[in-house]
Parts: sequence; C-alpha cells; structure tokens
Amino acid sequence: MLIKVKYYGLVAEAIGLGTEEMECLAADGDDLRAFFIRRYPQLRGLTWKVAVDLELIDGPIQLRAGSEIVLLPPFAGG
Amino acid sequence: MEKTEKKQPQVFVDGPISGGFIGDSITKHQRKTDIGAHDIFLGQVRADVIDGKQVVAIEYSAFAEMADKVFYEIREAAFAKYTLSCMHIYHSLGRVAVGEICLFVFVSSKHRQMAMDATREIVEAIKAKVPIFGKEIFQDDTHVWKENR
Repeated sequence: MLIKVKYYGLVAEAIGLGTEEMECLAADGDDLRAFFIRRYPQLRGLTWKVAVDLELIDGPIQLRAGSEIVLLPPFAGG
Repeated sequence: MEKTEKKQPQVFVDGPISGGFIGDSITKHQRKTDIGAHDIFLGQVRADVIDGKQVVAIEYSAFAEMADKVFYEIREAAFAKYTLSCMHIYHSLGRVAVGEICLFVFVSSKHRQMAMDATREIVEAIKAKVPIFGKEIFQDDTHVWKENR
C-alpha cells in the first residue's frame, strides 16, 4: 500500500531526501526498521526511531493506505 | 451554547527568544494576583568544543505536527499532576547563536513547590520526548547533529 515517508535531521542528510511516497508491506516495528535499512543501507549505523501517524512505534503496528511514517534521529530540544 | 475547540498555544518561535520577551512575559503576569510563585527555565546555546571545533550556533528544526502533539501532552500532564495557575512553553526554530535563548519554560502557581516541581518535569519531558533536532554549527560552517543526554 502507498505510504508517505518523512525524514529529519541526520537521517534526512544520510538519505538525501526529506520526504517521499512508496509502497510498503511491513507489518510491525522490526519489519519497518529492516525495510528502511534494506532500502537505505547507510541507515544501519545510525540511531533513529520510527513514528507512524504521529506515534512512536515499538512492535506490531497497523499500516493503512495514506499512513505517514517518519524516521526520527535523536532529539535535541532545549 | 456553541462549543469551540480549545486553541493550543503556539510553542515555536522563529530564531532566539529575547530577554525582552521573557521580561514582558513576567510583567504580563503581575496582574494575576492569585500567583505566589513563578519558576522559569531558560535553555541557552552553549559554546561547546567538539573535536577541537567550537560551536557558534545551533539550527533547530522539528517534526512540527508531532512536536505540537507532544507539547500538548506535556502541558496536560503537568496541569493534571500539579495545581498550576499558568504555564508557557516557547522553543526556537531556525538559527540560535551561542549565548542566545532557545527554550523558555514559565510556570506559575499559588505556592512555590508546585511551580518548581512542574518546571523540572516539563523541561525533562521536553528534552526526552519532543521531536526537535539541532544542527550544531561550527565556525567553519561544518556541523554535527546534537543529541540530548
């Protein structure tokens, strides 16, 4: 199904993109990580979390068409 | 009776937060005479030295939609846990030079314990949970990405 993906900070820099749309069939948190590392091997050594539809995920998730996945590098607020 | 949606206060500001703005915020609260204590936290950009290079500024960016949501959750949690009169959170986006303020948390309560405890908790939650990113810029225009600890 078609999903929107956004990248920030160090992750966006490593990939060279801020946003894209793609087909994704991943079913849970680990699948998503593996999916992105396969697509962009340079992500392997970096620290990042995944948010789906504004929620950080850590395990099984339900992707829907139009879901938004965001790869978030470490936070630096304050 | 018309039900209107509660408008979320704006947290992000462009560039550094000025001393004048901070002072004005304090002045504005003088007429709220049920307040007995304010606690204020200011985050300032520090001239860190990393691998022999000195930081001259931090450029902040954010995943705004999620950051707004998390700021809202932090606010609501603090209002639920502590008896507070008022709470304001401001965070910079864009370039903030060394010595300038990038975070302003301002909490007011009737008695000091609530304001002080809430402020500490709010600041720690912001640093841990809000998707804000910082590019530490060096004098030679190279950069590294900041990571909160």
